[in-house]
Amino acid sequence: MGHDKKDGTLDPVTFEVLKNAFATSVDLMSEQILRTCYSFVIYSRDFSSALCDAQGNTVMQGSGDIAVHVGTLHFQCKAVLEEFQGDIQPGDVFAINDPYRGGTHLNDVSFIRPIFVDNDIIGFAQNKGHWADIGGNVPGSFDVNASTHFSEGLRITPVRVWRSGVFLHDVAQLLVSNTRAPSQAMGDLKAQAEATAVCEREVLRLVDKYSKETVVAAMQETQDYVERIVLKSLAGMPQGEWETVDYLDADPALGEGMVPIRIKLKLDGNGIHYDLSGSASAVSTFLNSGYGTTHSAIYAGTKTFFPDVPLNSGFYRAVTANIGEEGSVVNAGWPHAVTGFCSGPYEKIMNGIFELWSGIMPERAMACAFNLEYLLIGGNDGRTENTTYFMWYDWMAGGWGGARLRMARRRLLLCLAPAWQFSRWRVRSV
Amino acid sequence: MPDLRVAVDAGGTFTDVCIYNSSTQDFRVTKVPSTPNNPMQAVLNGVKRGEIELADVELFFHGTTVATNALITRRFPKAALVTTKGFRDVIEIRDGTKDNLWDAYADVSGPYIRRRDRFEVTERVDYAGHIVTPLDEQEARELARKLKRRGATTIAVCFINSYANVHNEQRMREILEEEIPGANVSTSSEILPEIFEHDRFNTAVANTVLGPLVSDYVKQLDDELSAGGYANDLLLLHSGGGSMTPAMAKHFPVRLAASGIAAGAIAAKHIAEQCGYKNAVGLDMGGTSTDISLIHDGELRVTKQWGVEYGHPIVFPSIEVLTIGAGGGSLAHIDIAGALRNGPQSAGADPGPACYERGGTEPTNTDANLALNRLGTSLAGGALTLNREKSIQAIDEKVGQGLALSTAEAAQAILKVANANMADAVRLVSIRRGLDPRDFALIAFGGAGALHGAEVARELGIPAVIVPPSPGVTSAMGCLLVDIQHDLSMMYTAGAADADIDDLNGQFRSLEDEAADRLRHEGVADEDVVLQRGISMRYQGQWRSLQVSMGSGDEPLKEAIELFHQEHERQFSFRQDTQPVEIYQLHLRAVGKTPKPTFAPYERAANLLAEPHARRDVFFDDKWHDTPIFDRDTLPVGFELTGPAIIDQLDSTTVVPPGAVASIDEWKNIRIQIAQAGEEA
Repeated sequence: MGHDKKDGTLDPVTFEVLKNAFATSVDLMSEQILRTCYSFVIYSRDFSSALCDAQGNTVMQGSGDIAVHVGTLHFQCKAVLEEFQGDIQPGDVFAINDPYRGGTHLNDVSFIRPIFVDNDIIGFAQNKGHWADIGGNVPGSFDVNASTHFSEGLRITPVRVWRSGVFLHDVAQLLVSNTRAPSQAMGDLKAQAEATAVCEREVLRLVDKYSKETVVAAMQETQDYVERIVLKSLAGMPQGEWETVDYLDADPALGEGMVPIRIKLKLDGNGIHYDLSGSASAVSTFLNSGYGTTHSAIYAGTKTFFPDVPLNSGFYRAVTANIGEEGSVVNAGWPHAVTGFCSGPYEKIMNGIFELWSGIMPERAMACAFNLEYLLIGGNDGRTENTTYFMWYDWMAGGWGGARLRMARRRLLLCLAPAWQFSRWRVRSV
Repeated sequence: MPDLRVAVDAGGTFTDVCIYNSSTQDFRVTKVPSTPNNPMQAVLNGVKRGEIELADVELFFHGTTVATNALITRRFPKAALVTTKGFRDVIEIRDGTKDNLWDAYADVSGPYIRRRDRFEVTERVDYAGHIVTPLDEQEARELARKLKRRGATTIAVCFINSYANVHNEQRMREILEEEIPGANVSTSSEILPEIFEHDRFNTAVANTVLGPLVSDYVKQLDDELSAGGYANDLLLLHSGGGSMTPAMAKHFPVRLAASGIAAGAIAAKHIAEQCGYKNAVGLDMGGTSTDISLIHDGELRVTKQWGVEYGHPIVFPSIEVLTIGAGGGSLAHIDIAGALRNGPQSAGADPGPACYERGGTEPTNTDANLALNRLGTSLAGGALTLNREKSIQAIDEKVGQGLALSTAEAAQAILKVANANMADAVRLVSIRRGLDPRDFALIAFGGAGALHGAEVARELGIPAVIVPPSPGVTSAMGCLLVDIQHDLSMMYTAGAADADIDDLNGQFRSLEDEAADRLRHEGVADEDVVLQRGISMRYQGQWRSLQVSMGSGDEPLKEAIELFHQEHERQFSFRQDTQPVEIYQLHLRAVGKTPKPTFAPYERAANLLAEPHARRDVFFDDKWHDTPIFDRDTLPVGFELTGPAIIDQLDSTTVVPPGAVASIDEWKNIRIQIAQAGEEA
């Protein structure tokens, strides 16, 4: 029963304690970035935090993180590993935002810090946050007319920003100087890197207490556990195949026209399998989705039907997807523009998944959610002498789609409304 | 000469009464059931039960859940919101976040004023305070008349950017008061003159809907007490950790919304101080939840991010208390993937733990404590008998069999998960870099705090646990320990390096004048007034700010800037000396000192012997230990024992694990020195 076993086997208590402690370590990271950030977009909770294992797989993701980052953090971590494997030192911190290597859009910059114990990497702490600007044609970097990445801004392939604890000023300066808000970006760069240190500190505390082997085993077991929950939850559900199609209304470059996104769902007792290979070719504007965000949409849509399941790579093992050949609107490779994915394929995929699962799990049924719209105004502020760029975002808030009980209640209200209004009117006119 | 100080803390189930005699320094407590339908009745019952002659009372303190309950149940008088054209739905849209992001079936609760009662008028002030569009007076007057027809009795006026210019809001208020005599009208700029309309609007709205209700309650109670012979003002405990009189409660009723929760934290701070600790964690564990508070450097942590429910911020400084769903009644279970979970679901009072024999079949923390013999089968002096067999059965069936563990191992596993969850919560609120747990004490109270305190402390690396004399009524004592206190703030954005210090001082002075006015209005003598200036700063470009105290030396702003750097480093582990620092807000804490009880230490007993009244086998660290059971009342001051031991008292049970050393200090606290893992004898 003790937690002092050094052989890496886990008793149920140690596992539960470590699983919850991993969650605390990422929530602490989120808490810190919320309090130290410079970007107003991060301030509005457009960020996420994850603890990844030594292979880059996600062990735990923050509980209050933004949905569109879900299921992309492990891709980013693996990209860093691919580039730097064998050349990663304690005290290094890497940056990446590359949407063509599993990232979201260029504004979302990840900072990734290896966690070392006895010269071995046991995991990575990662914080991803939306910078106010990342260059490109327009302030805020959301160019609706962009057809390639060059109009969208700075593409950060995995790059080292701290080497063995030493800040690489030249590299950092190169990154932030390609944005319209360099001093803010520098502030966020440092704040994000510091936030990953919080997670590292917590994980090292756990290693101190429970041993390296136990913590590493718990990182794996936490993923296995999530995979098990999903598979067990599927037991008793029907097996079979379902399909649906949703559309982007138009490719803005071509005018009116429906751009189909086709989703097939298969339940075979071994997990949840999606197939998006029948979707349209990439569009000529920024409404494309890279493979990272397409997976993210699939995971996020599915997770809505399993709200209590923690998010990590165990979930991504139980939920698989064939997103088809590169070059489609749901698997746009370089140099297709992708910044508008969140108002395009992302929500169409989610809506399609809502539709499919609403039939399988009517008790959690949900109609289409609102369309994400936002207003981004930017430019020069003529009121100040040393004219600087400003970026001003407004997100048009909306709701999830109608749900079962709420629909019923709403209908009832509609029936009652005329009578009620009539009676009010009479009272007032007396 | 009246010499009694009385504190009545009305909770959901019980109303606790503390009575302190300032002549004799005698202190006693009593308890009566709460009367939720008429909360005042329980207060008066408590006075009666405590045999208090109101004419003998010097100060009467009261913590109440009236405001909290009204916010939760949404039982308000007819209320309305008047806002700038285009901003009707600010309190409905909120900041667009949910507490449960993924559950589409878990909605955030609705706003305090429904849409049909929210109205717009034409007016506009810009960010700099210029009136872009004057208030359309005709429209305003028509709206006022409409509200009168609709019977609105309490109205919030919340205009965009009103913190920068109060004129339009004030004019609207005048019109409403002219048209609806007797209505309770408040403006967002007087309640909370701060940027960010959702926070400001919602705070003003919460204040407005509570206004009539709280002032009626407070007035009735005040009248009753006066009629009984109490000559002073009733002092109401507020969420900022101070008190206020009925006159101010009328203007700021929403400050009473965390009244009860603050009391426990204040009591924890007092006990820590008494025992010589500047740093402490308060662990107030009850039946369904645990309240965690943090004392650092002698001060309770204060937060402005607070609300009774998610999405409805109340942005007055409140003592930071984290409430988690871990209590004696929290349920343990094995989930579908085979993991052992504990809480947040609770068996509550009905059916309660399995051992209560009220139909509960799932094991709770109480069942686990009972199965391990940490808890005896007879509680509250024999008033409640627990069935240990039922606990064992529940643990075996729901946990033990699934994990192939013996009853004792399974029960120990349940408690370990519960204790680790509490420790995680403490970490989340508190243990940032720079706060070393070895400097902390853990104050364990509430019905179940002392059962778990030692193991939670061990989990956190905290070396000392303090269990106050009456853990079950410790919160009420907090009410006796507060001053009259007001927290004022204003926006002030300027670069810190080139701020105009004269202007800054002028602004502070205007806050001080207002605060002094309030305190004078409450009858506080000038010599009892203490004013503390605070300032919020941030690195230019950051979104959040940190509040530090304004220096007192020749260059107070310089001192404050250095304090800001230090605080940033302490909380976030980095500072940026080359970055420009920006002033964001000015704060003023105005305190009217009230006399505090002084507790005389007890003398060390001549005879330090005490005999256990029983022995039984108790399970600790994987095995059963023959353990003495003591009655707390029989332990002399200065007594010391080495665990394992169980110390019973009427309202609580203290667990002293093997190797830990427990002693009775001169205040009759139980002090437990924790042996850390690996250090056990």
